Amino acid sequence: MIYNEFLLKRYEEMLGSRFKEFLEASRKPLPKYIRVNTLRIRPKELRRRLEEKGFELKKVMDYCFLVKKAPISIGATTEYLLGYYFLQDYSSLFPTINLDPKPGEIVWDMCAAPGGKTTHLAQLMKNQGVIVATDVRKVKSLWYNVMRMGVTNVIIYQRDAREVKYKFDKILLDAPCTGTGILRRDPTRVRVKLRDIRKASSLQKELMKTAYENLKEGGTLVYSTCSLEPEENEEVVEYALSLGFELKRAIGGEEGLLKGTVRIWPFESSGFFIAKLVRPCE
Amino acid sequence: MRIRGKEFKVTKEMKEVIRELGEPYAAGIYMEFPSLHALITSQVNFPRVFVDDHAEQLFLYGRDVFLRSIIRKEADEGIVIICNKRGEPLGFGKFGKRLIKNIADLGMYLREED
Ligand SMILES: C[S@@+](CC[C@H](N)C(=O)[O-])C[C@H]1O[C@@H](n2cnc3c(N)ncnc32)[C@H](O)[C@@H]1O
Repeated sequence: MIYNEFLLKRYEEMLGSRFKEFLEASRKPLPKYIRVNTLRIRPKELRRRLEEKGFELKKVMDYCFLVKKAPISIGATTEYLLGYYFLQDYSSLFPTINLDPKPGEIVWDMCAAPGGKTTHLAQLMKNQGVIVATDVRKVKSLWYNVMRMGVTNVIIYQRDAREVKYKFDKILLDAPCTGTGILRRDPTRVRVKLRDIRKASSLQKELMKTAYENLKEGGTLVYSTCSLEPEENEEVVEYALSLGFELKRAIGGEEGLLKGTVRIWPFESSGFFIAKLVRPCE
Repeated sequence: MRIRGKEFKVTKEMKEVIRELGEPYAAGIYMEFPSLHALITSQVNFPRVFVDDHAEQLFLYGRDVFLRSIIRKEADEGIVIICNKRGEPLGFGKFGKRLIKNIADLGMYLREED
């Protein structure tokens, strides 16, 4: 079992009668999805090319496919090297979709590496406007992904997000977290304890405060984690509300424990939490 | 603009942001030859050489191109862009006597990450 007793007890409490379904899902490997890079190719065209090579795909969204059958590793095709798609869980598309960035805006991706969401943002912005992408680590892999996908509107900083001072139109805070929603993919994190959760939560709140200070009035922030723990999710959003943020309804899955937020349990895809917040005008 | 001693192509908007936030790690389009970023965003101008499927695979593994796998070419010497039969750019090569030497190819992203 990939979850420890401590975590299982929490999920049983939150899920009630669906806990059994959760346990069953946790024994299966996580399905693989690809996000088509519409900056470089049309989804239909990519699908045709991969199917010619023996891949079986199922469309789950305009530009996202579930990989049902793969004759070779999906990360080893020419199309992958050409930057035509990114391996990305379906649920992790929704933070970016909720932020809804527009061409011409100045957007901050606070915790950007390795760039799954940065390159998705660029695709929705049609490579126009500016994305500032910061991370304390792994900026090289972030940069490589940006280059491979043909993204041209990103500025990368290897910097602690808490040291940035600017006023952005929109901000994505895809926060560092305990990752309990992606244990099916990354089982190295099985040892998560309450202490880890509390520690993550306090960093998340600090980042939330920074986000508030760096967001224009009327600007939108999307907060997301791949954690299932309320301390890292709903509790951080409650803190955001105390700073002055207003909560808007997010899309992408069932409602979280807080009205308007989204909580995706790891049934079909990795677990995610998403909240959409607006900094009101004074 | 120069960033950490390398050339990048950035927009006016990006420059304004950089002026406030300081020197970044990277920005816009990496222009230093042989940049694959510049290649796939159509920033470079070299004659093209189109190669067959087999050569495409090998080239993306970092290998050179044998002259017999060339389908069509726009030059016989110097630096060229290696394209597959569809015309998609795969990297840069340099003509030698018996082969086109691999200077840089898109497979590098994978090889360097490992
Ligand atoms: C969930 S991951 C981000 C995934 C990324 N958004 C994507 O879609 O590919 C969280 C990231 O936060 C970074 N991080 C941790 N503390 C940070 C800080 N104080 N400032 C900026 N980034 C930080 C970590 O290095 C890690 O890469």
